[in-house]
Amino acid sequence: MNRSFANVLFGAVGAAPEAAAAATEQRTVVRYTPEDATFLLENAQSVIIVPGYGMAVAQAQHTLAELGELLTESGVQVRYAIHPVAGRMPGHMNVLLAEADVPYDVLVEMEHINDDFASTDVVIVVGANDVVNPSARYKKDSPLYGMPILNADKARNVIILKRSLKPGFAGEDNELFYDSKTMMVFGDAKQTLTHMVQQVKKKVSA
Amino acid sequence: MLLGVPKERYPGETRVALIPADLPALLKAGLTIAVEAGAGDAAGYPDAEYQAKGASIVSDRAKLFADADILARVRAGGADPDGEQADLALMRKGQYLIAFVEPLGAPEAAARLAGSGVSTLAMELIPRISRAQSMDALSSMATIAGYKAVLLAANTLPRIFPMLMTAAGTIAPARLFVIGVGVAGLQALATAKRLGAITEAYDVRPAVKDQVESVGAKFVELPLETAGSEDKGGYAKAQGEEFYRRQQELMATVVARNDVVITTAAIPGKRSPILVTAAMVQGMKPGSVIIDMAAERGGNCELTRANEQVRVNGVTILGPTNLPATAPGHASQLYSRNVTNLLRLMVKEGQIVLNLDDEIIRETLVTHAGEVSNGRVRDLMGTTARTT
Repeated sequence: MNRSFANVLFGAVGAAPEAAAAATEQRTVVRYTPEDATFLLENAQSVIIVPGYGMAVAQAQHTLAELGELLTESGVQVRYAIHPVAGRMPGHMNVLLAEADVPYDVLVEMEHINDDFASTDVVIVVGANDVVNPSARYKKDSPLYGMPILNADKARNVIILKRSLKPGFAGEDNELFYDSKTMMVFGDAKQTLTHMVQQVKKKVSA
Repeated sequence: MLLGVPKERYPGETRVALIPADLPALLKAGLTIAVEAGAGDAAGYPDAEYQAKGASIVSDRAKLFADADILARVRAGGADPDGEQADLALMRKGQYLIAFVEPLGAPEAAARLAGSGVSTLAMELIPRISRAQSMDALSSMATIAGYKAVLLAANTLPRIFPMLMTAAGTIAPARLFVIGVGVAGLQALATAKRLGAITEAYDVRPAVKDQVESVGAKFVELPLETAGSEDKGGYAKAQGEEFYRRQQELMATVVARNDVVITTAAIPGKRSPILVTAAMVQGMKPGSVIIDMAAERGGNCELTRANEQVRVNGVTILGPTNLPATAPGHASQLYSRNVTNLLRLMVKEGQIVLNLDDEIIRETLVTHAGEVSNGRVRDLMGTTARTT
């Protein structure tokens, strides 16, 4: 009761997430590992991946695509939510995901996927920040105010792969990082995803 | 309130300011729409499609201008030097104009629009803030232009781009170098990579290194003093003479090793900096290609001639000034959406409500109530800012 889905899982397994000294404005986030993230995915039936500039910088599109494929093969519904201004140029995510052979039909526009977040088990945010920042909805003095965002915060669980707690292009802190249902996994996206892929493969062959 | 969409008359212009798909949103905002006959033909949008979406087709251009309360165009004012005078005569006090008008490159044209009492919103001046991204026409056009620049280069190069190992020997991959990594440069790098080229890029702003790598290219580091190279809007700032000389020295080696060089360095309202000198061109392999995307403002290569093909030492130099017009279907689609989003900000229940407290309106507005309202444009007036 009142525990997050992740907390229930970890409680059952006995693994306690380490609290990191990652403080911004006196707020702390809990740092999770790639193993924690993979564990969360085990019971997911629907996954939405939100790629962002961080995926591009890490050139993690191939590893991300591999993870998406593995999940799809084990019966999970996997889609990619592409925000219109994700990355640093129009179509940035598209060109990289195309290179990784992600089929066009699992790439979904914001307008067509935003209502689905609420019924989605896990959102994996890969190096995206401003496009999933809830303050864009209500914070009038935010540089993001008025920009439509992806409703990642409405999903049941959120995994965020990020290099650090540094703000995105707009320089605005993101309250989604501090949400109790959010699992922050710090590090280079490619490395994190490589770990996750390894974990998923192990479990599939076990 | 009537929105009029004239046919573009600028030589070689094939885009149209509004496409049929965007009409419903504007009709919903309370506008009626009239389109000049054939306006969308070159872009692939026939009159019948406009009519099907609720616009009326007008054959008499003068009548369209006379009746419209708002005119949506691709080029007008300073962006359409040949047609400017004639069109101005058709316009009247209190009319609104939304278009590319070259406010910084041709401020005197803005003064003329002000003199006619026209309220002008320049698509070049949409601020680069998150809320206005859906209206950012410069990024939209740069996206198309960057992609097309690479296709042009690929078609002009006497070599193919990708590496192929065949029974007839190995084809080495093409090397492509982009100078200036804005939206056009990034898109060019991504497109070139898709075609199989080895890509590298240089920009005077060191912050751009991550971005270059994010499209799979290598960032070229030149040991230069680049503090203060980026302005408030994220554009590269103009540097001094000595800086450019040193930059050329270091750049010569990089240019020489590439089959294709695409230059995109434009400074808003100013003459483009020379980045590739005639001497550097001499150092390139015969058969190499330079695509100078800054040709409209003078070009980044000393040898560029706008809209012409120049051959020196076996190197082909192209200076296309309207690459978006070579993919008018999608260029118009993007531009139309940018314009529509701006209109939706300004039009409430069929009336124009110009909220000058809104940063987007304030920065985009060039002329209003008989004056040049825009500070940046006013600062430029009185100088010979026209660059040809």
